[in-house]
Amino acid sequence: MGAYISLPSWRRSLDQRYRLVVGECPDCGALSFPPEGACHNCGSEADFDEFEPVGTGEIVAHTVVEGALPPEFSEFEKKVGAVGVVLVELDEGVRVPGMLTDCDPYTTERGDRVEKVARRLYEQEGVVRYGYKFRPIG
Amino acid sequence: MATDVSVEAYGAYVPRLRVEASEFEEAWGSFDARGVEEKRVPDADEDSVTMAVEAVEDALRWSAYSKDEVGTLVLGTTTPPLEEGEVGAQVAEILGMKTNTEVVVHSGSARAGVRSLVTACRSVETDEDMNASVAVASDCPLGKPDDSIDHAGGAGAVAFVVGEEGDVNVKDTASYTQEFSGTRFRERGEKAVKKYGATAYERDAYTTVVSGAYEAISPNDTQNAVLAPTAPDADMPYRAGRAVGTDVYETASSMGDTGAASALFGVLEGWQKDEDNVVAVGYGDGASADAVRLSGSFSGNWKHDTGTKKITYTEYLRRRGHVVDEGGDA
Repeated sequence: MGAYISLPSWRRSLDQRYRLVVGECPDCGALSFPPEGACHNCGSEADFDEFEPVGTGEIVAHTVVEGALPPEFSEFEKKVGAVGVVLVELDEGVRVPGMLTDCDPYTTERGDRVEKVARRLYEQEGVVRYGYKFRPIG
Repeated sequence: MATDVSVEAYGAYVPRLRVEASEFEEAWGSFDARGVEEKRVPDADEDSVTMAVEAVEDALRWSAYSKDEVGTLVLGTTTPPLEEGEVGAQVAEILGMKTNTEVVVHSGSARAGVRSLVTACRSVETDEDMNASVAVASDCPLGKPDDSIDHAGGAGAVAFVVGEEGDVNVKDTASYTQEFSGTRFRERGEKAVKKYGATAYERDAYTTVVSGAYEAISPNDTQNAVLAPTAPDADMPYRAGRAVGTDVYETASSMGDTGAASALFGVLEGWQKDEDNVVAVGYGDGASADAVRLSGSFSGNWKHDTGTKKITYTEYLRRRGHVVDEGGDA
């Protein structure tokens, strides 16, 4: 089994899945992604001020997954082979994880500039789950 | 019908994967999509929804409007990911449009792209409070691997931002409908488009209905107007062009059959060649067509390609899912 996410839970995270909406702590100004829980910097429990980042940034960590993705990705993996997984520091200064697309995952590396793009993540129980991925800026 | 609105900006999305006709010749001994030299195809994580999002984002970037100012979003596609279900809502939500944006989907016919432009124009025209609407045509038709429809099947999306003041005036719209059943259709529950296979009948249907819609726009106005029709291949459009005696613009030769988006890609191709009087004809098999006359032009190259990847026929089969079982949660 993969890490099953029910549709009600999924829907609550759409702003993050689709547009990378991040939270700014009203007390210390630190950014959090996803904008949930207490501020990781000052511990404030005040509601985050949410905003939509531009969606561009730099790869700060990179790996390639070969044949070991969770089962909900198996159809996708059969079609494309190895998949790049990255941690990206957005230009606004917050780090977010994501999959790479539209590139050779082996030649894409740390320091490369990327932009967010909405893609099909997987299909489960007949429902397509869409979400952001990152592609190199040409 | 005369209108009083304009196309203020456009955007386009062309997938990076490309496959050449010679790959099909090698695999099948022949290539059956006339005039197509190579085509673009969606990657495994792309569909009509994701391509539509990219085209709309591109169009809004070049327009004076933000996504919050779009009153109506109209999506035209023959390949919605679901037969029933509001795929337009997913496009609007991914883009982050406001919840009271009017969202409309036209589907079930390759005419849907130009139809979306007509709907977007009427929306701005009839609602005084609305500044702008967006029409987006996004498509990735698929056939059975051994037939001309699949050989032609390409992918792409085009979006037009429609408002009251823009470089391209939407002058007139007209329609033409006459039954020619079975020329091309997709049955319930099927992914592959098929056709009856009587070539002369299909050509007659296409030429009659496309020229009928073109000529339904008053003759004075169509004088010298070039034709950008729905292009199932890179042969049919020229037959219609010869029938009405005008030049034709299409992208099927370099992108394949982009279904509902193809007529609007043809418009972009015309603008790039400085044509300023273009009639787009959205043709739906069965058959029905809408014509829209566009006066004015946007200069410059419409295709902002950021690198392409050439794939083999076997890779094409795998990435498009022709040879991959649909997996669920194992």
